Amino acid sequence: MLIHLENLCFTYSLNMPFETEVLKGINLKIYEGEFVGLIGHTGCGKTTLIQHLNGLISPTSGKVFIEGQDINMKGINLRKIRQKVGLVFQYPENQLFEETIYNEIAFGPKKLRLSDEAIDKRVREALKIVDLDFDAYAERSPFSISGGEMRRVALASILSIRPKVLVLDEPTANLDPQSRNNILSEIKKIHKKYKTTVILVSHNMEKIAEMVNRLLVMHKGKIIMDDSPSNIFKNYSKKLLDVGLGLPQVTKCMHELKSRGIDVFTGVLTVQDARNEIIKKMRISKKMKI
Amino acid sequence: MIKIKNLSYIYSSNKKNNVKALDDINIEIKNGDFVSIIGSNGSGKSTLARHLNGLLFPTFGDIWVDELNTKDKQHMWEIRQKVGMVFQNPDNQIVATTVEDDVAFGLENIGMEENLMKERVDWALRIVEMEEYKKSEPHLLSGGQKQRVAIAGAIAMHSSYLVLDEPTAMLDPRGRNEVMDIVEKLNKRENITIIFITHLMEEAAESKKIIVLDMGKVALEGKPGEVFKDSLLLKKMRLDIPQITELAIQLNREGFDVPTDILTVDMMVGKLCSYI
Amino acid sequence: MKILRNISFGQYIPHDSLIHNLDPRVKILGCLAIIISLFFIENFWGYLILGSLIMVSIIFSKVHPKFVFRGLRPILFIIVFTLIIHLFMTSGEVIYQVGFLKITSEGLIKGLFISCRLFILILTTSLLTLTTSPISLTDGLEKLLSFFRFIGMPAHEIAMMMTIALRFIPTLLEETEKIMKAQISRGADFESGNIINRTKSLIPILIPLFVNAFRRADDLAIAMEAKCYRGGKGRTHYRKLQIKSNDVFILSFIIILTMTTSFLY
Repeated sequence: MLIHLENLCFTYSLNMPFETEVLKGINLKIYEGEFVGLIGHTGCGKTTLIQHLNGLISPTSGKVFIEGQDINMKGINLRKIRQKVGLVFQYPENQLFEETIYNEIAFGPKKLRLSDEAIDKRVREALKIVDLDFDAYAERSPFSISGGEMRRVALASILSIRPKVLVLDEPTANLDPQSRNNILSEIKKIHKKYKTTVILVSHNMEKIAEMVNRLLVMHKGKIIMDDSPSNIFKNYSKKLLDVGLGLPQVTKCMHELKSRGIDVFTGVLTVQDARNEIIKKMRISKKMKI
Repeated sequence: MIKIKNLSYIYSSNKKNNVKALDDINIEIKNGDFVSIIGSNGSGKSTLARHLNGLLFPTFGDIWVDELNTKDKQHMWEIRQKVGMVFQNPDNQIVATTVEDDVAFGLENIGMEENLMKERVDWALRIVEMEEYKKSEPHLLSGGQKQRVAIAGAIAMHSSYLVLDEPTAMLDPRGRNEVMDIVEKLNKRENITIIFITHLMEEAAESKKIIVLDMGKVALEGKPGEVFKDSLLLKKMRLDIPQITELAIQLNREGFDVPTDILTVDMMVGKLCSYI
Repeated sequence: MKILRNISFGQYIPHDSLIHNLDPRVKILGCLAIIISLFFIENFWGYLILGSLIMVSIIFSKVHPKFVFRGLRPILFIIVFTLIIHLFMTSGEVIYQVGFLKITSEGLIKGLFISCRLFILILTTSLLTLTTSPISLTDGLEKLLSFFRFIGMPAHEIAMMMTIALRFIPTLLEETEKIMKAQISRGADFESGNIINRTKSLIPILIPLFVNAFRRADDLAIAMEAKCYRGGKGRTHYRKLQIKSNDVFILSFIIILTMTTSFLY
């Protein structure tokens, strides 16, 4: 088990006038190699939760174990934890500051006190993962590129520390469709090729559903659903609607068809799945050949 | 009415000389319209938006707002009063330390009398449903609330036109719905002409007319049903098409008699069930 | 840091009190009068009179004294430090000696005077910011500065800059927190090392902050222009400042009091 959250509770401004209980008893176990999605409304506690994973925030009560270590115990070297759990915040391009993209990506490895050769290897590797050509980008200023490219550089700057767990908060926020697909395919690549455990926080039910193998749904500081996307869509669609979250359009379509008596599988996640299911189970006429 | 005739906009950036951001655009927007302008990054939609209130001036061609030419410097302020504008970043439009002071900002600028301002501010806040936040400080508001304040600030000057440049791009789903609801209300109840810029087809689906920009030119124009018929083309233009439309395209490609202008789940279900 | 997001920025605590309802110009001028007279007063009675004036004002403001005195906390060190310096460094009649450190009566008096001055200065400005909202302050300042427009003083521009700064401080603080967390997450360390290292470690925070601030300024300027902003000419004010009889009375009282105190003491 890689990450273990035990009865995690967190209250902002404890004992002060604006005290708010944000996390109410989170129990979660995440295993190596999983691709986990975390979904929930703004204010449900997602961002607070992920900041506990690399020790940015300490719980008010409860424990956080990373690879069996209680990271909030005295004497723990949090820098080592932050090398294991890499956190990419929303709009990560806001953290860029170096003069060259090379230096930006080298920032993390430099802090790990690696040798120059090792750093160079990591920078090249990270740029390759995010599909940016080393010769074309390494010496440029991170402020001279497009928004989508800046986001990929920011992602690369976390990849270069080679975390075991990659946590991404809304990695595709405000990106155009092409950039969005680029980043998502790069994340898929990281999970598949490097066997990195990935936790993806998102609002976008559709994209998250087709990528992850485990979906956590949060509501008012608690995890209310924890299962594969397919199972959740098949069995808990009403509950999702109750907490104000929707289904992917294709899944919703299947549920609608089922409610009209057509025996379709309602746990579809992708357009392809829906297409195949419709073709298999329904009789729709073919186009007239002129 | 806003009339855009032969509008071209050329500028030189430090990377390349002479970028033609807009190429011979001709558009007419009538009073009370709800027009969406959709296009991918670099299509020129934001550039076009900024021409509507004289933030940018045409290199060639003209734009008339209620018969006033935007190139006439003497009419600039009158045009900016008629055409309100809301931008993408909710934070970077709010100038004052409280909501009511920010909504009053435009009114102060046009030299409105003090005793009339209060009523106008209250009216604007009422329409965007933010009256209870009148005395709030902006940094305590959510994204959707901030955008509503920005909208209130823009319409407070009794603008007959409201241009919204990707107003929901930085908002969460809840904020997006808040803004879309208010914009629809402004058009239906207050008869404000809406020019809505977006790269999401779903948001454009609610409007009466859609103009699709691609590489600075008007590629398609018409009612949502007409424009979305060729969703494959829209996809090629790197626009965000709804998942259900993608399903329609794929079923159509497999040879099935499913139209490609399906935008909502209801439309799809209706069509599929019509075969039973 | 989350606290800052929930509590309104600045020290302003709204109340319906005599002091709160005074015109901000009166309060600013009143403060100025008190602070200026502080430097003319050379006698404990003078400080006592001014001190009483402040205490009475605090009572009338309905603000709990603890908030007013809280403003002293950051300066306490300076006050004590100044006191000590004057105690030991002033030459004159020695009243106490510890080793080679001499405390003189002149030093004692001078030290206490300066402490009194700082004390009253801080309490006065604290009371001002506690009873006047940021908007009122900038409005008041703008009106006062506009008297100097004939010598080219850009009163409106200064007030506008102050308003925008006040508006964005909480936002920028939030931004700073976010940037810090992002940099910490990739190994940045702001706590260890000597002074040089710690200063260097601020670069990954300052540069993104600045870049962002410039971008915001750009966006904001465009948004302001879109709302017909064209400088101060012809601009009206949403909040009208009106001098009432209370204002005239109190300001006159303060000015007369401070002037006589300065002359007498």
